Amino acid sequence: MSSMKAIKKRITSVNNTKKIMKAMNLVSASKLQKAKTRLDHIRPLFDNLNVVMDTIKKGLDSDTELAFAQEREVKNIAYIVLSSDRGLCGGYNTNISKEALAFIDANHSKTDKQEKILAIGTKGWEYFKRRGKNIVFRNPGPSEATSFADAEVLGNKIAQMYTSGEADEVYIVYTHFQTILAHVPYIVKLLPIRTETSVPASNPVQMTYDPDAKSFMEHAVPMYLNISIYGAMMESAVCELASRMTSMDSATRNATDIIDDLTLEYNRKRQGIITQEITEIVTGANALQ
Amino acid sequence: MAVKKLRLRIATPESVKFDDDTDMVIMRCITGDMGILPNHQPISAILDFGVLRIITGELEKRMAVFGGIAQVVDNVVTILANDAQWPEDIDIAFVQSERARMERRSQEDLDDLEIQRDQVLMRRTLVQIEVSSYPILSRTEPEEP
Repeated sequence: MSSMKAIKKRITSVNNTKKIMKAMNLVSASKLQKAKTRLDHIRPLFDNLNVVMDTIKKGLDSDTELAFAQEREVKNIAYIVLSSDRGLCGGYNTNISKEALAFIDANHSKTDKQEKILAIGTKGWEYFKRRGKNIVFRNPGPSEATSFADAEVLGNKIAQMYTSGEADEVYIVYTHFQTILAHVPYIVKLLPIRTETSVPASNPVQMTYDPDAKSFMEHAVPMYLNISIYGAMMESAVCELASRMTSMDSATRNATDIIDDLTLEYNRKRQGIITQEITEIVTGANALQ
Repeated sequence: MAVKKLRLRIATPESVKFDDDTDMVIMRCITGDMGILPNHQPISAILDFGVLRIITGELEKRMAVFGGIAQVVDNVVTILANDAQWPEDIDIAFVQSERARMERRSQEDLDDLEIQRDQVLMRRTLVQIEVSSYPILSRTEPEEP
């Protein structure tokens, strides 16, 4: 018989775990608020930048040589995969790593193309390391405290990889935040930037450049990279926190259920023992008469 | 007929700093100052470190912009800055002390990278000091000494 003492012990231990999960839930909730505000701030910049880039792409004549738009023979593809450093956030890391792996495997199944993974976040790094993938760069994962400078480091790194020929295409894999419960893995091609030369715009804007188109693009593209990466980092950070918040919330609820069950069992046992004792006394008293 | 206005949007990684109608924008590009009035031709420009002047009616607001890009299309001026500050957000005492520190450091023997970094910081403080000196100007009544 699992003794009453053992049940009591289990109740205490589940209770302690519940407290921790409850605390994590609250911490993630407050961090989520902070991160969400930052995401709301970066989104307009990101949207405006996309509009600016679109106008440029439409107005650009195809003779302008752009360092970041050449479609060259693809030998090396770089993937930036954004995951988190810590677990206990539900399926967040598994989802994004699986999506990235499927995409990478599909790209490299029959060709001799070389994959280069930039693992941002320990969990993603472990995932690809275990599967023997070629990881060229590793950094801590995005969090609610990630600054624009962190994104700049990564942006400069891939710009340099692209110009030096180490990578002919660059993709970023991150989790897009829709609502607290809906997070969608996104795969976005960063480089080369797509120039829609094949589809001429109906009325292209006659854009002038100061000082000239080439220098402008050389300035605008790195900025576009940095901001795209920063945006993706913020999206991922918010998703991680939201995911942790909801999974800790359900874990707290599960713990409450377990405690209820155990308490019921404990009380039954206690009741059983009392009943047994009374029966024994009554039988004893009856025997004396 | 209503007077044509410019729509000015200033966005940085931190937040959207400005989104409103205005009459004239003067921005510091790498080739010099560029003034934008309504019905300006479409133009894209690279921004330098410098003071951005936003003129609405009689008032002129100033802002410190630290590099970025600007685009003018259909009376919409979009400024995407790496960083930008309103004068009231600048801690002038700190900036002054930073500047003094940079000046002291320029006497020391530093390697190229450090000198480059110091120069960027120095330019930053210069812009901050300039902006803080005249946060808002009235354009009708020039101040008589």
